[in-house]
Amino acid sequence: MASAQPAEGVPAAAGPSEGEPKKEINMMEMKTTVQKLPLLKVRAGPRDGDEWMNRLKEEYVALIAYQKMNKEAGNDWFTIESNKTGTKWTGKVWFVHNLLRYEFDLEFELPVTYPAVPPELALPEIDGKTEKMYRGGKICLDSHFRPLWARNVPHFGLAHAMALGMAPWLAAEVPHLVAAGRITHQDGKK
Amino acid sequence: MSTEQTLVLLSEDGMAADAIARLGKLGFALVGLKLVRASAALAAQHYSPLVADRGFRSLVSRLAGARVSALVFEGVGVVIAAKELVGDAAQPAPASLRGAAGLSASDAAVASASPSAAAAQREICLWFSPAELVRPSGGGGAASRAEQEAELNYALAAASAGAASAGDAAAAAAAAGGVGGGGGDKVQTREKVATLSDKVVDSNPYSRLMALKKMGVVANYERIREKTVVVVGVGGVGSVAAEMLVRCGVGKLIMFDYDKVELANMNRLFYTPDQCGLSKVEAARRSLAFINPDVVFEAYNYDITTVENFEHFVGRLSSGSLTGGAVDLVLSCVDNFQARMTINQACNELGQVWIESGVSEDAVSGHIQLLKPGELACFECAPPLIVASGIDERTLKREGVCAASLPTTMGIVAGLLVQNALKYLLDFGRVSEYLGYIALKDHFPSMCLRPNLECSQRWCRQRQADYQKHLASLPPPPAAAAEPSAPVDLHPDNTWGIELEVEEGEEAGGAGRSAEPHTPAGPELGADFKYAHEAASTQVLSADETVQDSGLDLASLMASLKSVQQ
Repeated sequence: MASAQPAEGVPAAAGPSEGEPKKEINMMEMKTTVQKLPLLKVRAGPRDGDEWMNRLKEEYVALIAYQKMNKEAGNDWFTIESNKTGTKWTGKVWFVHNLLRYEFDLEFELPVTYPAVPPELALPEIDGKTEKMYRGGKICLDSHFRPLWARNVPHFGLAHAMALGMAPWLAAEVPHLVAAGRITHQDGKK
Repeated sequence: MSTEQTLVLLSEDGMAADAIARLGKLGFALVGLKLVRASAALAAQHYSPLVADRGFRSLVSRLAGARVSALVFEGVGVVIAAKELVGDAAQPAPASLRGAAGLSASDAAVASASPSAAAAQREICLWFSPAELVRPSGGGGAASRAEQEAELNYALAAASAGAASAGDAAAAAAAAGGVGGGGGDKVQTREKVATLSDKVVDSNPYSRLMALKKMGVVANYERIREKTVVVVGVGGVGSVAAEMLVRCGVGKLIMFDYDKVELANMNRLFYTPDQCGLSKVEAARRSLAFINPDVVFEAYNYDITTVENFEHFVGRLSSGSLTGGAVDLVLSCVDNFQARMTINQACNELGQVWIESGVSEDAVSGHIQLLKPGELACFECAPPLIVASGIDERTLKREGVCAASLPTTMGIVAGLLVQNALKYLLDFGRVSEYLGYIALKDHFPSMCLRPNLECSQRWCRQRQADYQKHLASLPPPPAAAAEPSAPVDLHPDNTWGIELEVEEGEEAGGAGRSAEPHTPAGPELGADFKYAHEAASTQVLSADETVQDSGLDLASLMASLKSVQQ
């Protein structure tokens, strides 16, 4: 079903609004985490054969580095894996809000023009529950993440998309969805 | 070995029943099944890879007009199994269908199976639309519950409308397949027309078009019947463009879209409220086939940007024409960046000419852009946004979101798009390379965008090299044309001493309108313009910032990620 775009000036993934100092700190943390993520070098997409395999290996190395970082800091918040060709990805993401853990299935297919075009991360379970989402549960990243991605082709990979796209989206959306009663802890508990 | 599909064609019903039973016993799934009277065009397309063979003509003539069961089977190794089942045409094994029936190679009966998995994919596309392939366990072709309901509502509404009134719904019913009986007035439909006539009678649907010849505008309008046009995206612009092409009598129209008709679309043209819930391509196919039954349609309801669908998409562009070759023109009527990039990728790979169109999300400006791979800028060379106005990346958002839309702007852009498509297809007038439309000022900027030598799309750079080679191979222009002509003084008696001056903000060379690479050293843009994309970083990255080669293979990396996540 069609969903409405976030109203003008209400960014989907811009992180917290003013007056919420606690999450401001999280944003700072996120920034330093991302700075530690290794940058990718190979510019190749799923149509590029061996070069794509090299890119895919880089994707995995960066994801491993990110997950190690998360584990060491005790704040791992997702799992992810791909098919053999690296075009389909699945996993789980979770977010803790008021001491309750909300967990969702993650899935997405890479666009054929990746990495020139960023991935469209999707949480199909909550499709239709928020306006900040496209058909099929694709989270809205247009205004804030896409320009950043465009400036960093080909150096950003899936690890960056998770850190800079999914993480702030969850941080902004889950509390809002819970407050609005659109998701309950049962929905997000598995 | 992976799961593959194969196409089996059998003219004898007994053989078809046998094939289903025997391949089913071997564990292969039947995913497609229909009875078809094969047209000559379909038969020729089916055997088109054999066009150079001596037997081509007889193969085609045997299949053309034949009543055949077309069957699609799926499973690991099904291509070989089906070939063995059908049997060799010259020396069939006794247990094979051909052997058991005692068919010789010269027999009139049709019994064939796809020679290879790749050939099967091509053949299946000819005989079946993806929606017609039904897997046993949900999967492809299975319409969602909501879609089934929408189909049901549509059929019910159409069936009862015949009794209530002979209005639009009855027409829709006729378009849906003539189920609109029930006592109302008879719905007028029109018969197919074999050749375009220029006879000026009320009953000739093409008389006004053929008059273009008499008026000296188009040399040979009938050629439109040979043309195949692809419309990607049948929303506000694409559906109207498709209708224009169909009313012009285009030979074949191939449509792609993954969206459904919604009430929110009703501020634009073409779709009607009773079509809500149908896929846009299916709703469009029904209406368009009703308007002009002479047009051959292919309609695909999927997202072209995924890796799997992209393969099929490229296949239809390269072999979807009426003669089984490359299509004549692709029209991009999509509303998002990823889809445009996907069309760009496909057309650069194939060297396919396309025209891009777009309407801004504030609904008061639009553009069309001709893209000839290698000769003109590709979509990645120069996103057209930079020339519009003070807009930024937010314009790359998709429709149905917060974007505004007007039927007027959409209709105007569709008109500009198809006008240029007709000029390109029928070779009259001059095709615009880039034409903008700024509704608030009724301003139509026009320009030419040359390719970016440093385009990040490798296929674009390849096409540029091809084009330069092509130019070098052309004979040099006649000497007279090469000489610079002396400036002609048009007004020798300039009584008032009038001089031409360069206007403020308008550089003589037209700076800011070039498709130079977007490096910081690129051309300065005028005050109203800015680049939608900033240049990708070109700085040299130090070793500790980048991914280091782990020396591991992919499987080890996958295992490693899994263990880290545990």
